[in-house]
Amino acid sequence: MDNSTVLPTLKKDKKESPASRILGKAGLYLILIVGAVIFIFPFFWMISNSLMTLGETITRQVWPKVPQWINYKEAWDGANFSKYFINSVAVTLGTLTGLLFTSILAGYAFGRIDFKGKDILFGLFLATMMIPESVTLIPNYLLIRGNIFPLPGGTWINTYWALTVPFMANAFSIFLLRQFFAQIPNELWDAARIDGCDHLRFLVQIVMPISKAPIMTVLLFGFTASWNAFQWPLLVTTRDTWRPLMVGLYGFVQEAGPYTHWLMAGAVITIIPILIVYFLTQKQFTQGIATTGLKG
Amino acid sequence: MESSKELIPTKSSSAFKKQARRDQITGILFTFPAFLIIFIFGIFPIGYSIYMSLFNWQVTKGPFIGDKNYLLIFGSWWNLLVLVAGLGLFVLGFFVWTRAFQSINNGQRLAHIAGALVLILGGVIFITGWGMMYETGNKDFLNSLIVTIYYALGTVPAEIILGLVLAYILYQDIIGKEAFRIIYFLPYITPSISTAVVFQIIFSSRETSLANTIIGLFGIDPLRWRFEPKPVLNLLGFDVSGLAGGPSLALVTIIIFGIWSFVGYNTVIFLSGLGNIPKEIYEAAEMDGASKWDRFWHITIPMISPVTFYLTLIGFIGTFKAFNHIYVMRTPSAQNTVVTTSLLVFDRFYKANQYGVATAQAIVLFVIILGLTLAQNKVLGERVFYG
Amino acid sequence: MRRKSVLFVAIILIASLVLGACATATETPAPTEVPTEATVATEVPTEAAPEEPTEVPTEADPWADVVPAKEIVWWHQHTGEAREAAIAKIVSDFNATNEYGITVTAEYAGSYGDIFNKMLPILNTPDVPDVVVGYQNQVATYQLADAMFDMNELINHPKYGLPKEEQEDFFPGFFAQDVFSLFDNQRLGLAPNRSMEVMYYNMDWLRELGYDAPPTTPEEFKEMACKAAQTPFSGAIEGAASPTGYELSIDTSRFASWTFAFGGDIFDYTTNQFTLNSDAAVEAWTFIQSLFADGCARLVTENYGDQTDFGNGTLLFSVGSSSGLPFYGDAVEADGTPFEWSVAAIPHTTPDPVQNVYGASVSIPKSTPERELAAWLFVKYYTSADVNAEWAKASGYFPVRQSVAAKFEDVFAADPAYKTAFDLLKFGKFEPPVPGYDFVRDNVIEPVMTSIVDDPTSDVKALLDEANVNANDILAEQMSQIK
Repeated sequence: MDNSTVLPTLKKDKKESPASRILGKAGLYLILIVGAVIFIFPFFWMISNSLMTLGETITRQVWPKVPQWINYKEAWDGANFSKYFINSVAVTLGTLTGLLFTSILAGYAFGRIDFKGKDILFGLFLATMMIPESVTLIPNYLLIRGNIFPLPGGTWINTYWALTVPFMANAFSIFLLRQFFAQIPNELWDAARIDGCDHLRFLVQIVMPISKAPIMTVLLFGFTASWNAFQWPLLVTTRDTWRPLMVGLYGFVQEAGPYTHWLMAGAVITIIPILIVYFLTQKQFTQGIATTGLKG
Repeated sequence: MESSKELIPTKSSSAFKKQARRDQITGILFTFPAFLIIFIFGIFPIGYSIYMSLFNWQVTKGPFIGDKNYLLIFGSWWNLLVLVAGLGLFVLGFFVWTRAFQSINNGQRLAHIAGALVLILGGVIFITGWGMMYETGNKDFLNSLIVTIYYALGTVPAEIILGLVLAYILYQDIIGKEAFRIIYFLPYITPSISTAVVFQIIFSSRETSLANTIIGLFGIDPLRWRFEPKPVLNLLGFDVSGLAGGPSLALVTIIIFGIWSFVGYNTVIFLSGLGNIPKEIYEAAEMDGASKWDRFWHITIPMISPVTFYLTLIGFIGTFKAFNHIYVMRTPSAQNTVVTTSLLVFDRFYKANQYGVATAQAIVLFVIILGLTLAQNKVLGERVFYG
Repeated sequence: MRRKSVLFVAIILIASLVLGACATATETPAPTEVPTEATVATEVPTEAAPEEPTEVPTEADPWADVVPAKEIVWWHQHTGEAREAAIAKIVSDFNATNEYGITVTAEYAGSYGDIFNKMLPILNTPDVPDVVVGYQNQVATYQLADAMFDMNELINHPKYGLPKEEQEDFFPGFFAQDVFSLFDNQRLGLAPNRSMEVMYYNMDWLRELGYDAPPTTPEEFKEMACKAAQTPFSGAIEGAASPTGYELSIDTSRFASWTFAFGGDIFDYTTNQFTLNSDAAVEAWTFIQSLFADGCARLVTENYGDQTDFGNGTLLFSVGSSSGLPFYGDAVEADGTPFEWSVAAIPHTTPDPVQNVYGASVSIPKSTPERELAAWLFVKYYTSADVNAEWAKASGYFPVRQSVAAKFEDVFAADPAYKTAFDLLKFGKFEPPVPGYDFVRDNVIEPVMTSIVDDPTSDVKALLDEANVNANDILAEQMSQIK
């Protein structure tokens, strides 16, 4: 195989001495480590400052002399964090349930069923991924307030409905699952069909159990989006007791201005759950984005 | 599918039709819940936004005013026409240039020159149109577009390059690859509201803040970071004011925050993309004597171009949609040098309660994003090399 | 496929447009039962209250059959342990002792600005809180939509009203502040507290600099501030920040305070126009600009940063609300090296001090008669003498009743700074209670403050001229909405 026509003329590499190779490798590690330090430094800073006294934060110590665990309690009490937490958890669970329901069904339909209008519908869904929130924000707000269509219950402001229902379906999750479902061997389906299985039974009994990985990915992305949500909950919750974590944190930050140690403690509190989820599932996470990221 | 042919005896056409109809129903039924939600909250609002933008809508619907809200943005439709004409000519000139460039025949060289002229003409008309809009239209909105572009140009290329570099390094046999990957991805996964708190303190304008301490090591005076509305060119000594001087320091601080948050995402995606490049190509090139740099430049970059294209595309769209990062880092002192279009629309809606104007602005933003996407598709899409 | 989906999208868009147009037939932000009693003439008391127009007595009492609602919500913006505890006590006492079984829930709803933002979209809908704090200009904006309950309907009611002696017990200035001539002298609020802008100063540091009293004129202020920027305080916290004389927070109240202190105003009540470019304003802000230019002042770095720096001994002067007294006290005590400090009038060019007095009142958004009555009963309780005394003591705000102030000897003795500030009340001046002032604050005044101090060479008069035009534009737009 003659590659010299494929590739432009290349310089002949000098023979690499072991020393220069090790130097090269060391250089790479250096870059990686510097990068890692930059990326992780704010977290380190957050944690260390959350354990300092106010005086230590003012004088910019690097590490607290005595870890002030009490800061966490004080920050927790300083704002309604327990309520915010409960709200975030409830909203996330609700949203994920709905999201799984809609995405699995739709993903299966797009991936495995042939029906008229499938392409158009799918194209439509994909197109929604390009829409900026700004355009949908205001009408959605009016929608939630019951100003456009009458809603059960009058208005959904300050309810879990407003925080969950709009996010119970999104094109990204459907796309993810469709890719996976489409790759399931047709033999499985043929065999099941002979046994008298309809699509629903096939989906539930055969497809879902083997789709743990993409479903997990959808869950993870949905969890992240829901947990980190800020703009929409800010709009639709006016009462403090309904606010999820990020909105609550934002208010706390505005108020606790110069009290750095409490600020940091509050921030750490809000990060811990998602960090836990991430560390437990990070393999699926990165695999998940990787598979979607490649579809050019 | 031979096997299925054997297993399933030939069916009569009516059975097929029945199956097809059942499939049709099932298909529609399965996609219906998703369709309902996506339509109500994703598609219907676009139409309703257009509807709202035609009214003098404060908090409640006012009288119908047609295109007044849009005119508030552009000044007049003529302005917009001029701008778009300029843009169109610019694109035309680009086409003529690239077409003409490929040939060396003399007659074609004329087309080459013609192309350049059209380009310049287009550019001039575009700038004229912009100037006219600026005079009579909504300065805040137009400024916010510039700010958004600065933000996009500041974050996306950096994120792509850094992401690729880090991914490439990780791709070499590195010990602790997993650990590095986890660390790099951390900023992406943590909520920006929480991480912004730290960045606010690091980039605080106090002399003792971390950022000021670091630049102090280089002998630079403390800066006001998030609070500094002066453009960076100004700070470097050039005497330009306003948005022509580049992004303000406050915006640069936010850009740093944005890059920190998103590089990890790019790294992870690039990493898997790299994994898809067949190793044989590298080996063959190495046997032919290609240096490390050559291998990177002539193999990796082209082969990874679909990923690069994808990340650039969603990167740009993402910066136009970006909200959280900028909202939490904004200060009143930075004035409107950090107000991107998505923030502007939100303020007009939430603080000023001018729903009609806000929706008109949002629609214009949407059209711009659409245009950008199409443009990127055309321009960059052609450079993508599908191996 | 591409083309087809584009067509499909277009069809869907048009469909939703049409749908939207039809759907809006059902859309109105449903103002539920807007009480028609609101338009009924107010009850005539046997003794007319001074600022009300006397009305012809109506036949039936519209409030006769109204039973106060059992649950009402109060939105406030108070933070800090002391105030939150005081609120909790007031609310629980009311809930326990009121004879109508009304239960009030007090909710922290954000800052004044947050509350304002939240209120605007929900005016005249059932989502409104029953009692809400608000500045007069904010309430004026609400009233553009005719969304606030006129307390005149109940303040002189034989059963539910406030007896004359009580009404006269309020400091007349405060009591009159919530009557809006713009809206036919409706009373749209009642004052539970007031405060004013004062200058905080570090007395120990002043002594070290060679002075024995706080400045009374701007020139003295500048002299002392500039000296302080060069001479750190001996009691300052190590490594906290470099010393400075004054830290300015970008807040419209500072703009007003300094303008007042230079003998002018930011609003002309005879022409009903903003005067952000009045001579006094230009003078005042040229002065502030010079402080910055000479390195004697800087901007506050984060929320309440001036408070922290003051407490750390790195800031000599700070201008802020007297309601911050307890917080400043905490900041000074925080690190264990307290110094002597107090408050004084803003340095002024006028013979007497001119102090920016403000304070939000509590107002009642329109809803149902039951809710409005219950809300009024709570408001009455909250502003009653004993409760007001408790509230003022706990919160650091000034009491609004003369009888209460008369009994505050011990409070004054315990906190001389508080007394100093209280005595300055008689020099009070107010920010304009006009609709749209909040927008002017955010969009006009605060940006121009930043522009002035950021660039020492900028032309203060030109900037303020432009700002004034913008402010009056906003005002005109707001006023055009008056029904």
